[in-house]
Amino acid sequence: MAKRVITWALPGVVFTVGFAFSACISSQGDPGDGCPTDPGSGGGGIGTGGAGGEGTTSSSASTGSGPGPVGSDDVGGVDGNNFHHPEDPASAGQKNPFEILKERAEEGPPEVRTRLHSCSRIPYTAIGAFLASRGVNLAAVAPANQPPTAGQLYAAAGDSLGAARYDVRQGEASFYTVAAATKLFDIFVQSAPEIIANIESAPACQLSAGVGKPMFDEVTGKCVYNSVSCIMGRPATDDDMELCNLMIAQADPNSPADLANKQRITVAAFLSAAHTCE
Amino acid sequence: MGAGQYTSPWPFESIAGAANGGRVDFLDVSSSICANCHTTANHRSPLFAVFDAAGQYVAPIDAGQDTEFSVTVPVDGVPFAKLSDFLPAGQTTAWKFDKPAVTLAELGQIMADDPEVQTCAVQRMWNYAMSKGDIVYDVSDVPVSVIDPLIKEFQANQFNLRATLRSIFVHDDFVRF
Repeated sequence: MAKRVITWALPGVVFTVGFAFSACISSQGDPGDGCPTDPGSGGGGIGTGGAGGEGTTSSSASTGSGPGPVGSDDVGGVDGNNFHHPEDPASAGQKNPFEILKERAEEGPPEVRTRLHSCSRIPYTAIGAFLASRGVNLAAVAPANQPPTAGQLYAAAGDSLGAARYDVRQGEASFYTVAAATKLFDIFVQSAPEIIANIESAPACQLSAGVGKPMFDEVTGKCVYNSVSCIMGRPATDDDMELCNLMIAQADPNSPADLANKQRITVAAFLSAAHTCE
Repeated sequence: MGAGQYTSPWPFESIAGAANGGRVDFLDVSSSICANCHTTANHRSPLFAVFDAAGQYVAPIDAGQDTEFSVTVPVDGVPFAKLSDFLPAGQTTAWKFDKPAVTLAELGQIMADDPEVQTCAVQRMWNYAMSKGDIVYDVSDVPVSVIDPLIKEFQANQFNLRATLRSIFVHDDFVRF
């Protein structure tokens, strides 16, 4: 058990070395830029933070707090023996922790907001597993001079989707960037034809072994409830079904090619909306 | 004492500062109370200071208070850190106040035995399941009152995290959304 817990807790603890020398600024600096100036204003309660809780502000400020250039803005104090904690608590672009705290307060008391789902990014490997389970062949290769397959897009999209890069000690991103969401949309668009063709035989979408449903009803052309639910990962609502059928209804009834495009766009749109929290 | 109050359980001068031989003034109180955080941090840091910037273990040059590590101090000359930069004479490394840990192995064991660490493991799993951000960086705190049964289950099931994670995924709060 000890090994499990230390493995989990070590990243937070190991930062303590990085910031141990990061003493707060002195009277020469901005008093709002360092450790909390009053109890509870950022110290991170032991009770809420556990291993990483004690000294939250300090540990948060550890990023980039190595030996800064002496004489720069990183170092202050009468004798140049203090160190400015970066205001940035975690990574580039991260909000001020007090701004984050304000947002949390707006979400309601901890006892309430804790019980509600949030929405984070799907891990890279999970995206691949999801696509494969819905009928996408991740190993498919496009013919020469043709657009890449969904599998090819996925394979090349690790960095833009925010996959972990262990060699540079960079963990999986928690949230989508604009670029990541755009790339995911591209992958879903390319996945749509394969999903439409294969969802009926995809075990993940079959209620009983070997018996699946098509994406669109072969007679009416309308969206099939089970399949829409399966690509979203949750039961489709009446609104979902109405919207799905409305999108298909926009197709030119005299153009099978247009219908096929509308079907693909519909599937891609539902995938995108369901898996990017929109 | 600056604009704040000293709230740490450690004696104020249990860490290094300009007044007791440290080259970084962790005892500075002119604007913020650095020691509020650093009394705890500095008692842990020497255990990790044996790893360099690349994470590689580098044996310290053992010389008591002058024991020298491979990490550096951000002052003129960027010298290698000494034990005296973290702690004054007489202080030993520790996980928390009154929880001494002389080696990393001891630190790991004392952390494993710490109910707050056990609670945090469940809190982080809860946040993972609920797609919340980091409990620290994103202030995604999880009140113990919400997950107390899960914490007790984690402790009772010999810290089987997989079993606890399953319980989270079938928890009423997770299922009803």
